[in-house]
Amino acid sequence: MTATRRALVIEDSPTMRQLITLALRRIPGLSFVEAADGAQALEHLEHDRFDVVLLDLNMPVMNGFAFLEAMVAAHPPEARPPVIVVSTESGRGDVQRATALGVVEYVTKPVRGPDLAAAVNRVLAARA
Amino acid sequence: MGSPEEPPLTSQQAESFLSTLRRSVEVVQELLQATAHQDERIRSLDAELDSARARIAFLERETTQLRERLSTGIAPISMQQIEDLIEEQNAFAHMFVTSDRLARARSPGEALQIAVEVMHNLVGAHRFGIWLRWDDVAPQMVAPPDPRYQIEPGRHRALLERALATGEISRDDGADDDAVPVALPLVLDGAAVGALVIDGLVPQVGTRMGRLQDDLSRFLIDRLPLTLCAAAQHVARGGDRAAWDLVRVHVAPVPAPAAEKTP
Repeated sequence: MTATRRALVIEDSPTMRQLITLALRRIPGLSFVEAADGAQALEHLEHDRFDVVLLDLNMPVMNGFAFLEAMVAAHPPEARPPVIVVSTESGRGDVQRATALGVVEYVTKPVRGPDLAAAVNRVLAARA
Repeated sequence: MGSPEEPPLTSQQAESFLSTLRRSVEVVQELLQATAHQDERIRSLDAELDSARARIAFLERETTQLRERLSTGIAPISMQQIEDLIEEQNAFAHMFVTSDRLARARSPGEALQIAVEVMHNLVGAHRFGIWLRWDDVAPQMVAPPDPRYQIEPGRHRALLERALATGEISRDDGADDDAVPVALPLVLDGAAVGALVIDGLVPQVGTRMGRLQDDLSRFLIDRLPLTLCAAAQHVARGGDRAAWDLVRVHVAPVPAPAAEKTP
C-alpha cells in the first residue's frame, strides 16, 4: 500500500496550479492542497503537515520570499517541509536568496512536466 | 609311461565337433556385427549430441542478444525521439490546461486573465500585449494589466497593424519563423478582431519561440475570440443559472423505447 504524501502548491495563477497538479498526478500517493498566496499557505502550515511545498515567488498579498522568511521564523528546521521554487524568475540573485532560505530545488517556468515530477520525486525520496 | 593312444573319432563325433566349431565361428561373426552396429549407433548418437550442443549454443547466443536488447529496452528508439515524445506530451498538457481554463471563463475579463496567465506562466512571455478592436474603435490594448509585463505603447505598431490588416502572423521583414517580436492575429468569422503581440521571452526560453511557445500561442489565439464571445453572452444572459434555464428550450426528451412485441 502506497503511503500518503501531501504537497502544498502555493501559486496565485489557477492555470499554473492546474498544470502543476496535472504534471504530478502520477506520483503515487501524492495529494494536493492549494494556496493562492503566502498568507494562505502559512495558515495551512499551522494546521497541516506537508511532505513538499511548491512555491511561486511573484504573488500578491505575500510573495514567495516573504513566505519563506515567515516560515523560517515560525518553524524550527525539523518542522519545515522541503520547498521547491517554481518561478519565472531565473536570476542568480533570486536563486541564491531562495537557497539561503532553505529552498532545495529551483525549477523555472515554463515548466516541463517530467522535470517538475523528477524534482518532487528527488525531494520525497530524500525524505523517505 | 606313455599316454594311452586316443581312439580315433567316430564320424559322428567328428561331425559334431565341426558343427560346434561352425557355430562358434557364427557366434563370433554375430558378435563382431553387433559391435560394429553398436559403434555405428554410438557415432550416430555422438553426432546427435554435437548437433544438440550446437543448437543450445545458438539459443544461448540468441538469449544473450535478446537480454541485452531488453535490458537497454529502448535500443531501437533514439534519445532524440524520446526527447521529442516528452516535448509533445508536455505541449499537450499545456494545451489541455489552457483549453480547460478557457472553457471555464464566465466573463470576458476572466477570459483575458486566463490568457495572461497562459502567456506569462506557460508560454514564458516576458513582455506582451493583447489588442482588441471593433469597427468604430481603434485597436486598444486590454491585457496584461500588470505594467511590468506590458509591451511599451507604440512598440511594434507596424507588426500589430499588419497582423490586423492581413489576419496573418506577422514578423519583421526577413525574420525567421521562430523570431520574436511577433504579432499573432485573433480571427473571428474570417476577420482579425485583435492581436497578440509578443515583444520578449523570459531568459530561460531564449530569444526565439520554441515548439511549446509556438504551439501554445497559436492555440491561444485560435480559442480566445470565441471564448470572449461565449463569456460575454454568458454575462448578458445572467450567468449559469439563467443559461441553465435556456438549456431546457434547446433539448427535448427522447422518445420512450417501443414496447417489445410478444410472439
